[in-house]
Amino acid sequence: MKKRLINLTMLGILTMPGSWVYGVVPPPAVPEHTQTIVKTPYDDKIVIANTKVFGTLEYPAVVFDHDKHTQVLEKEGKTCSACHPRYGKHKDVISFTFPKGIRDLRTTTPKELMHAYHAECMGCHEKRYKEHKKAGPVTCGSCHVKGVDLSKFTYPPVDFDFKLHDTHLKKLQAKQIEEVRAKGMEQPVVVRFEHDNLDPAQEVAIEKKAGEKNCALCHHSYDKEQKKLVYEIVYDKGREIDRAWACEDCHEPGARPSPLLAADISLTTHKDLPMEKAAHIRCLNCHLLIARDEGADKAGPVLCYKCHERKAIPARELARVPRPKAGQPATCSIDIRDAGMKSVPFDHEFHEQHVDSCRACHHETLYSCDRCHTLRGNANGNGISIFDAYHDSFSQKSCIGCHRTEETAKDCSGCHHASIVAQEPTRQMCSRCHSGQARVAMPPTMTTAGLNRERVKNVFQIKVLENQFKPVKYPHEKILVKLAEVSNSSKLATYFHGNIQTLCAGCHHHGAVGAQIHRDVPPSCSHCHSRYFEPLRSNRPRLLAAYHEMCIQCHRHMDLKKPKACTECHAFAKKGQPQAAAGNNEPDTK
Amino acid sequence: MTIDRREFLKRTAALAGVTLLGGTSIAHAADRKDFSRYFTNNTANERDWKIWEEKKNVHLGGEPFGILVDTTFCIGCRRCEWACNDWNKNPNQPVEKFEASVNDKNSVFNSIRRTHAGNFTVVNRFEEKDRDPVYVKKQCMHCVDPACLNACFVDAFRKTPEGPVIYNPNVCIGCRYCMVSCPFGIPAYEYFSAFQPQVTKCTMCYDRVVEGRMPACVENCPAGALTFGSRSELIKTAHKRIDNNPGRYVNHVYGEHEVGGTSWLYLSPVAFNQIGFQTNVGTTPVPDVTKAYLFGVKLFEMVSAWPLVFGAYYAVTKLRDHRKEHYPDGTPKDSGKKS
Repeated sequence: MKKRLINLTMLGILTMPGSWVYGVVPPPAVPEHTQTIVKTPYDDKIVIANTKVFGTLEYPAVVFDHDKHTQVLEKEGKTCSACHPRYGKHKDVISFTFPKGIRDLRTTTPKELMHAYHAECMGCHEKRYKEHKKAGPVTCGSCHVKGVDLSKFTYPPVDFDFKLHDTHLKKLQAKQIEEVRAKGMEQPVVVRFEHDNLDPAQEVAIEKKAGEKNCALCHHSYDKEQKKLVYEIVYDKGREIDRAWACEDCHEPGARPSPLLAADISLTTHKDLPMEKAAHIRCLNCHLLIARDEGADKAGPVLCYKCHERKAIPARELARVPRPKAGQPATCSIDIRDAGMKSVPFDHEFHEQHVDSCRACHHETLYSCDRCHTLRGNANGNGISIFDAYHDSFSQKSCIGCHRTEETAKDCSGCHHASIVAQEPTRQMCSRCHSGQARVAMPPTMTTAGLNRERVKNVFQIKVLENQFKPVKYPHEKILVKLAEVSNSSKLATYFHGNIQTLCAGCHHHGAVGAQIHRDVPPSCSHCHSRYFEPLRSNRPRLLAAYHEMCIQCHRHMDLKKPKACTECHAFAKKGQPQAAAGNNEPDTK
Repeated sequence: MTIDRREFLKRTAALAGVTLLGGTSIAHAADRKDFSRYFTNNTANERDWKIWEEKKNVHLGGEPFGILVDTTFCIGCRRCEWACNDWNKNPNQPVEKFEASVNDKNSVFNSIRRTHAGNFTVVNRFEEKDRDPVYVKKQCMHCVDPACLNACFVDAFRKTPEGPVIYNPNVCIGCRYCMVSCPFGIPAYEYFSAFQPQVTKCTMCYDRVVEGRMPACVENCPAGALTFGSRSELIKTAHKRIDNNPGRYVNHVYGEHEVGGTSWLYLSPVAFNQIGFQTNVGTTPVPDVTKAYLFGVKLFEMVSAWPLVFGAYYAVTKLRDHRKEHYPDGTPKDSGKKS
């Protein structure tokens, strides 16, 4: 009986694939959405290489699975301090460095560091083996694995944008109100994170009442006399405005930091607090403490990828996020004394909504530009004069540099890709900014209504390749309307284009010159671009090339999908009847 | 190691078989459909050489010409191929067929092509994700110091003062050293011509250039990708374009210094090795690599040859005298022992 059952089962198993194939028995349903565990490319793994100390590595770098370790330790009721040392004398503050024994990487020899790593990792693993617990490897090759693509584990820097800032701010505000209420005050002190229109004495008083949980929690400062960190937003007593400064100003200065920050930078260098270390101490400790006190769901992330892989928020959404107030004006008029130029009205509020952080322009301090960059340039401004600070085409922090970058956007680059348009500023362009007015006066929106219909044609035909192709119908007005629409959609474009004639120059790049020569006829490409080769102007594109270059390059830059094949613009004249290509192999005569 | 006859024959047969099979199936597999490789009876070489013979002593004057290829402008219409075939009387198709290949599914662009006996120029497409395809025209680069010219021992090549490198089919013996020596792998051969096979390559339309016209391909380019002019001017133009359009090109003009400079110059939006260019050819003209050695050979001939010849003559006479003295009867006895 038993034997028979086995035989039947075997038969069933053997015939199963056949019956699936021939459709007798339906195959087991494959779930449509197979269960997928969303994994980041990093999986919270960290590469241990320390090439700054080791130089060239003797063994392959170690890929360390941080998540795995924390999970195991968490189960056993251990905290981060099992591996990471405490920071300073604070009980709960952990310095997220590894291994424990190493204080300062700059004074560590390679051998010391290697022994420290091995002692810490293998020591723990060996100990666990002795205690008969599950433990990690202790042999060389199991950690130093060859041929791992380390580039996968490179974390991008955290994008701490205004939205994230706002979330933190709101949370702090809520906490502050709670705390003030708990202290039994009748009317909760209006929590001020805004420093405008406030008596400084009053403000300090409020901040003291609120304890540490205000802006100064992150934007702290350092008391050089007492030699300790103080939670005061007053950066340096005696300076004109109290402002929150960015972490990077002190903790990660640029290549050539300004002398204004020299003292602070030397301090952070002395204390070995680069941005990476300082940010982990500040952010992660706070997140961990909140997780401990209030539960993990209320705290910020502690896994690497959750901060380091935040997806960028679309600009439109970011524009709605309220900006941090640091006493900045909504609009101002930039007037440099003795510069000999008219003042420039500047809409500060509008620009705030179009940058990632204050540091996009205020690269080192939150002071106004002319505080460091003087008319002639000095050491504070790294020798960069105020003219260059505003006009340098290649800097992302200058007005013109940033606007030039905006020109490379998809919609703009159709016209602006060409070097003929992207020229150095001309005299007319100066007065667009240097208007001398107090406020930015926006020009009216562009319309094609007021154009001279006789000169600006609706549709016209290009018949250069008439022998081969049917004439190209060039929708002149449609293009103009579209360009006007694009221009109107952007405030930058609307302001700088001014009127609709500017748009013409996108194609009629020397239109003014052409129009002067041929006063009676509208400016046409053939006025300058001759159909045949001109030995004297061999660099000037010939007519065919000029048409193709202008049309194709614009379509390509604006990412327009439509004309893929030749025939999408010009149909063949006679199908299957190849005619001699225009002018080919014939003497160059008309 | 010993090897018996059977094993030896087996291995030889296997090697021959593999070579035969591999030779026909792997090499230029994509080109097998390309009928231009079967082309014979090239007339362009003969025509150009005749003009050269006539004009050899009377030149246009002025600087050598060149052509600048701006690959960012090329739209892959292949009109240059059509024009080249038309002018040089190579097998041709209607221009529509050339143009259609940009969008065709089974387009010639699906494989990377090379020049053959019946086409002096080909346009290849180099595609990569996240960027527009780059079309690259390929033809003889017309080096300033051509390797083919120096490799040819019957002196069938000429570098004309106008720039083109031309070829004389009448003296060519078909050794094809020029094909081996070319750093760009350009010269092709009429393998299917039984009696008068020629080496074929782009002539840079020497016959047109001497008349003051530009090459057929340049004249027919509708997109402005090809610019004809004096080589030195074109180099300036190329650098100006790079400078005026940041981010559009890689900062290199291919052909400015490669193998000592070439008449055809290229601008590219991506690294040149990504669009099928040899980037390891160096900046030394290929002939310079062998020149020193060949000079040494000549010097050796002139200086050391005579002492050697006379020395040998002296030794021979000395030996004869020696024999006469010691063996007056004739040959020494030991020579007879062996036989």
